[in-house]
Amino acid sequence: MNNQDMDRKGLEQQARLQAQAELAERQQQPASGDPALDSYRLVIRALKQPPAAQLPSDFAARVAARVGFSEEPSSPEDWLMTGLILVLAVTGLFYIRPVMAGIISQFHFQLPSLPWPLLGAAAVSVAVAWALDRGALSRHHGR
Amino acid sequence: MSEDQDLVKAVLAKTPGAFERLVTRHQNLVWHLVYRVVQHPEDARELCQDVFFRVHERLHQYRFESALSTWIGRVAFSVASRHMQKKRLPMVEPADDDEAGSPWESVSDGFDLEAACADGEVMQLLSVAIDKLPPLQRTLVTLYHLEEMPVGEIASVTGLPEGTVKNYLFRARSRLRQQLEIRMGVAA
Repeated sequence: MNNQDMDRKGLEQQARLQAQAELAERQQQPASGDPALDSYRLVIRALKQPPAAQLPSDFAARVAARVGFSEEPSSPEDWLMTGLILVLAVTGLFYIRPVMAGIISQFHFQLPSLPWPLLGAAAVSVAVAWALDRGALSRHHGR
Repeated sequence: MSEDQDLVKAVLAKTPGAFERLVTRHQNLVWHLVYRVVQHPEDARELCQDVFFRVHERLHQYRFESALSTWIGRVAFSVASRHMQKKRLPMVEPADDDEAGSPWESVSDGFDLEAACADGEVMQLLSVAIDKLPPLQRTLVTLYHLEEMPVGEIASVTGLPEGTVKNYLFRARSRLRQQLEIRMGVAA
């Protein structure tokens, strides 16, 4: 018998022992007295132990709350807040327009003739949209 | 499977409390799997949250072709493996391919199963030895022995062929027994 045969036989014997140990543990048999088999049974018992570190006890509630927060339809308060921000932005733009127009007119000769009020309004819209989006994202992740 | 269906439908219908029930039912599986892969409690907790966020996002894609636990396990394994890739940590160590010594050569006589099991030191030694297994082996033995998942489902969760799963399980148990016998041999 060469080394390869011996190795193969050894592996087969170990596989058999592992299967027997698993069965004995499942059936809660008493110790067999065979050290080879019983040591595998001990290994299997150790493998059935959960790790010492655990999830916090309120893990499920916390995860569900964070997911639920992003799912909630916008409340009336959210709609009011959004409306208020928009009104403030438009009012601000309305009041700032004459001032800006005066300032811009001073630079009239230096600046190319672009639709500055329109560009200003677009910039304000982008800023408002960005602020709203940021608010929605932070609510979504609850962070 | 019917319970899974009811739960999934309830979550998709945004029934209050349904998603929390789903998390409660599967959090141990996800925790054991993710923790065994990454072995770092803080990272594992963050990743577990990511797993359930992803489950929530993609639940509409679940087609009931496997048990919900298998599907969630697959998401968890994917999240944990990607974390290991990002950290450039191997799931399988090169040493996996070598059978270090022959674990069946030195069986000491007089091994007492119940006394060894009651011996905190011995169980601690095995616990440390489990932690030292390569991440993939750790995960497979955990799914098989702790979660009592059949080999076919483990193959589905990890994407490995069933034969490979069995082979890794065999090697992991042999390696642990070898560690045990080194310790018990000294004690005997």
